[in-house]
Amino acid sequence: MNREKTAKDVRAYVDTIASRHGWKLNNREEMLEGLISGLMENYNRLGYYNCPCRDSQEDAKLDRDIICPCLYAREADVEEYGHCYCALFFRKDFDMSQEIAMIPERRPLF
Amino acid sequence: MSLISVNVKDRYRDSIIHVQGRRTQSKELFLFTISTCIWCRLGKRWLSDRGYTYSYLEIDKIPVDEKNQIKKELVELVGDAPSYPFLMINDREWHSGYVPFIWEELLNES
Repeated sequence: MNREKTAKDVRAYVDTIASRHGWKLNNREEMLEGLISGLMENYNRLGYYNCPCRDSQEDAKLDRDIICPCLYAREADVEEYGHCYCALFFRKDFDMSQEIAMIPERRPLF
Repeated sequence: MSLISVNVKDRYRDSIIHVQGRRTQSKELFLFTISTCIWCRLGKRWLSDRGYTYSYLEIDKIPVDEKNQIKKELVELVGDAPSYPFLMINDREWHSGYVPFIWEELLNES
């Protein structure tokens, strides 16, 4: 088992992901903290960063498409909707003053 | 639950969390949620802020094989992958995901 992640570790991870993909993070502190804590709980329970907004099969192979940053964020959601399913990562030009809403689930049936 | 055949309320009696609101309501509200999910958190807060009484089951806290039975039925209801929070009203109506304006319509008592 990997060493337990702290909120600080997860924050560093999502910062790195955002910068690597040219995205920005949710700037609503409460949402961002909630997402970071969800990712942290998942990592510490499952051993990988399962998407906090999607249900896990507790098997990294079966969950590989929803390990953050998920396949759907990378392939389409951020570009098309302006943010990922969880509203953690945003397209750089997304107007953060607008309302943030859930986007459709792109993941096919498990 | 009549919407799905798994008798969730009996089977998971000890895991279901009840939230008592101040409002008088005729509709019974039940949610399937994921404990780490930001939309589930926002959805529960939306209900609480409006004084609704509701119960919820965090599906990531129950064993995977049992959970998959429930999810399979949700998939059949939705005809697609369900989103969480998954709201059930009076065991008859449902909505997949947190969409405040739709919840408002569904919960309208008039």
